[in-house]
Amino acid sequence: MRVPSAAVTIAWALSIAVLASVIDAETRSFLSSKDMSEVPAAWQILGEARSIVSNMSILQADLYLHGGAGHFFDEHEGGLAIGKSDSHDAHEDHEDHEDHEDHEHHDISHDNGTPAGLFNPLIRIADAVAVTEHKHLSGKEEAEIVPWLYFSARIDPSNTTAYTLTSYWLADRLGRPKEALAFLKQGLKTNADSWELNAETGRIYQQYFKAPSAAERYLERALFLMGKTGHDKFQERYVLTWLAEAKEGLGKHLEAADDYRRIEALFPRTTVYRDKIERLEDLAGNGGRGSLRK
Amino acid sequence: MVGIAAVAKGVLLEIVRKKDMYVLLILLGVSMALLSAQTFFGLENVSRYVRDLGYSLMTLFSLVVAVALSARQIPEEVERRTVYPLLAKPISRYGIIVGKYMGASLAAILSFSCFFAVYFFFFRISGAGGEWGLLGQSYLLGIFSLLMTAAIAVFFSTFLTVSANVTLSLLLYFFSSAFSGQVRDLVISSKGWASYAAGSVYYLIPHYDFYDLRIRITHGWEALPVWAVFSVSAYTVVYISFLIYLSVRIFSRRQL
Repeated sequence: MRVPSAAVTIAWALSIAVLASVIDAETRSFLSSKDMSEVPAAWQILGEARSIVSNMSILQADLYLHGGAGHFFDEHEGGLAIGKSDSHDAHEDHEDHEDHEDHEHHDISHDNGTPAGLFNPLIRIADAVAVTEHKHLSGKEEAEIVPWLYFSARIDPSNTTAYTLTSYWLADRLGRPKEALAFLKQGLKTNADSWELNAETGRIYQQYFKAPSAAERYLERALFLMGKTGHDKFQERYVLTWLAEAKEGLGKHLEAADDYRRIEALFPRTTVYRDKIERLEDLAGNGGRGSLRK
Repeated sequence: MVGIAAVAKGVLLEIVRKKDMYVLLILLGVSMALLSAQTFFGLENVSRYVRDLGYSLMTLFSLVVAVALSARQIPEEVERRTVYPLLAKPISRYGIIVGKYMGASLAAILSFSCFFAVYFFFFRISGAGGEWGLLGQSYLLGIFSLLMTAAIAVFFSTFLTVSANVTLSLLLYFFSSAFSGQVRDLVISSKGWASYAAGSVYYLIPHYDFYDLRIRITHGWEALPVWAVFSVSAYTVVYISFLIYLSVRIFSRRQL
């Protein structure tokens, strides 16, 4: 029995991989307009495969962030470090983290504290070859993770996390808000009903372009869309905070105060918004153009 | 010795005459050129993914060449009955196995060297620093990896069909690369019989993870300590010698 030519096999495999990754928007729109039960099984499987590969690409970006070493969950409390974009405090958290743990060594130890495999030659070799140290990319090096995030979005354009992560790294870490905004808008073409993409677009408009009008439009839509899907109160606070800021920028002080009140309702024990609400109400009383949300 | 060299030369010429290696070489060059030409949002000096994917492609292509070539040597000789005139010459069955192994290894090294040259070219133009020591180590360990692969495929070829051999060799490679770490952790964390069982598996499987410097090269980690390279070399020699010994024993007893 002859072995198939290696070159032909690899060429086929690569062709299939390329074909699988370029299933076009037409197919996606066809799928999105149908109930999953109506979608042919083969397309369902292909869709799942795309999603898995896309998420693996995000994990690869996370690995790059840690110098290729494994991700240590104890350091990020079970979450991905690159996923910190969901938080306002991502930057600060990350820098704190760098201060404390920029270059650590991770090793499995026996109960008595002896390094594992000290008396086992093969394990000693494996430990010497493997990268068990841990470092974080910093400065311009952080750009190295971007290709994997980009690939993730290209492989599965419905993966909204890929778009929001990419925009976070571009805008907040690499100083390229224009590119971040363009990429988010590209994502919105195929995920118009994603509250995450609308929220991020609004945030970028507000934070980097001081364009409260556009920011308000996107953030209002995000708020509307997130009401139709599952979300937690922290995510709602995120959107409301930026929305309030955008409205304040537009001079809609009472509406902004109203948004802060909604946050207060979500977090009844917090008092940090009280001063802001009072200040906004004062401003509204002195000629503010805003009106309370119905 | 002359007989062994003649058999080895025959295998080596096979890789030169067939188009597989050239096609893969072009495929590697084109893939790396496309990867290098890709830009991301105007960001500069983004090159790790090129080094990473390039290394993976280079390893994969070399593996495919080594397995496909080594696996078909003995079964094809037997199937085409060309093994009989070969045995009629002044060469023992031991000589045939060793000659086939040496030929397959040299062919694998030749193709790997070509792939490595392409990889090195793109590595340099990607703006990577001069990690000469690490590059040298990755070339050396890459060769060791292929010597191991060829030995495994030749060993299987003494009692398996070509298709079964290729499948098993590749599965063994991927299993070892993917799960060696987990088996290692199991050896350390388990106790009693479980520890012995895990330890046996750990010692039995070929450790392709010893040869993989992809992460070190991609992320600019330091080179391996000399003792580690020496240990990996010794491990490879011992493992290959054992496999070739077993191959000779099996082939010597085989009814042709």
